[in-house]
Amino acid sequence: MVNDVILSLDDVSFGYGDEPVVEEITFSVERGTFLGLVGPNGSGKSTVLKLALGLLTPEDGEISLFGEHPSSDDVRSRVGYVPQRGSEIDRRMPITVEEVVTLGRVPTAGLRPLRRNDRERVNQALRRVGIESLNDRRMGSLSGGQRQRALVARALAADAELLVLDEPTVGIDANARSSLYDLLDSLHHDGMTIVLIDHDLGTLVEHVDMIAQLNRHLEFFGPRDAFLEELSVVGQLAGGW
Amino acid sequence: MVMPLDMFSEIVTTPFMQRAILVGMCIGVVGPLIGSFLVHREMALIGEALAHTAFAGVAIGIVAGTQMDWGGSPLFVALAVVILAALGLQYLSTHTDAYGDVPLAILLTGGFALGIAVITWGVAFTAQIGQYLYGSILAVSWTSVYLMFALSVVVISIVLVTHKQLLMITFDREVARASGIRVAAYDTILIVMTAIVVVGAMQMLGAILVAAMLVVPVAAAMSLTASFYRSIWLSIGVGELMVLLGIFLSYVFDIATGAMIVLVGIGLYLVALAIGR
Repeated sequence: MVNDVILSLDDVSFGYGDEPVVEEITFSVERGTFLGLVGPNGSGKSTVLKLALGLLTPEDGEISLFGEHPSSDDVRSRVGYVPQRGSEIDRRMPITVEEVVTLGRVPTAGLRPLRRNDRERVNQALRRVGIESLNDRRMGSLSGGQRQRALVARALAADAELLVLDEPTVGIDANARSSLYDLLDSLHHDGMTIVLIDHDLGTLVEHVDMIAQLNRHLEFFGPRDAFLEELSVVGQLAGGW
Repeated sequence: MVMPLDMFSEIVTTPFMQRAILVGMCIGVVGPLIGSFLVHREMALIGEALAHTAFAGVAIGIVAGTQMDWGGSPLFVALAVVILAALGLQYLSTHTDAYGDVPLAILLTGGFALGIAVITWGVAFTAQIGQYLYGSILAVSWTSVYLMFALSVVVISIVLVTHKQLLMITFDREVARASGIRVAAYDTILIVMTAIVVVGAMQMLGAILVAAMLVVPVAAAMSLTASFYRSIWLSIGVGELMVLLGIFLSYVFDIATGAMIVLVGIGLYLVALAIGR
């Protein structure tokens, strides 16, 4: 595994008006890492992801994505993003699973028509997440777990090198959650770099290899085992995370 | 008794009906085409707001024609005014904290108020103004046909090139931004195309009814298929049926064409709902 840094935040702060959301955040993510972002509600986890993706601009500090500014066109097509409300897509809109996954090719294709190669990448992505039989189904008719798989497939179709998921297990049942984590483990095993937010700390720590714990400031950053050692996870869970 | 076939033959050989059919067929394509991207962004009423602004543009054009001997079609003035209004609407939506429908309501009422103010200042309420307000196939000139055809070619060409980006933004705005899609630029393209379609269609349907061509065919199609692209084709089919059947029935029963087209469309929507259940 090549340990090059894919994402780095250096002394990053962000707030809305006078209200700070995150302060002095510094950490980096190396290629092939499966990083879990944890912390209580309002701790700034989603904000950190949006800063990393160039959706928000930091007030202070520097962010580098694939060695460039996160809003650079060159890096954005290398990131697959599954947003927080992914399981709450508009069920009324007619759009098939295949059409959603095909959207992953849009940043790469630009204004040119899609080619056979694009179609092949879409089919590969559908097969990779195990929903090829659902390709002609309306997205809104899928279960929460199937929808999340389709959104992960969209990211894979984009040839993403970094997969960013913001609470993908919200609103899906235990079996679908377990199945989604199996998929993420499999992608991680294949070399995908993953950054994940999940409220289910107990499940998350079983799968990730690095943890960043936020509570406006970065309270912990390091290997999962060190996190488990340093903090009493059982105590944290009993505390209602 | 006149048989439907004779009536059909009479309709397609009458010059003003030929012009109406040609313009209607263009509207039947571009209305649902643009509407498919608007409806699923919950922007169904934008056509209504822009049409009321187009009425102000037409009023300015008519007053310019009567007071300054300007001989051009009021539709050209309407096109310029609506594009400016569309860009203003986008600015208000992105630079103020108002709810999404507040700028729409301001534009809708403000455009209509401006139109009435200009008319009452410049000319009396004429039959020509009524034509733009309620629509009239008698008002469709060959200039209107050429204008609508040219506008349709422009709109279809732009959609053919940008449909992937427009769909990506329609489905998931945040992911589109994260993927580097220039969301604001595509929003501008969509709203300007909407302005073009509204102006092109208002002569036949009228400022009050024109939004129906953007919304009703799309609403009918969305319950019939799981696919976005198939829903566009279906909505165009519904749009064409609305226009052709509406024109035919309006001729047969001597009812205002714009109103008949919308009523036929709502009938088709109800049928589609029943089938889609």
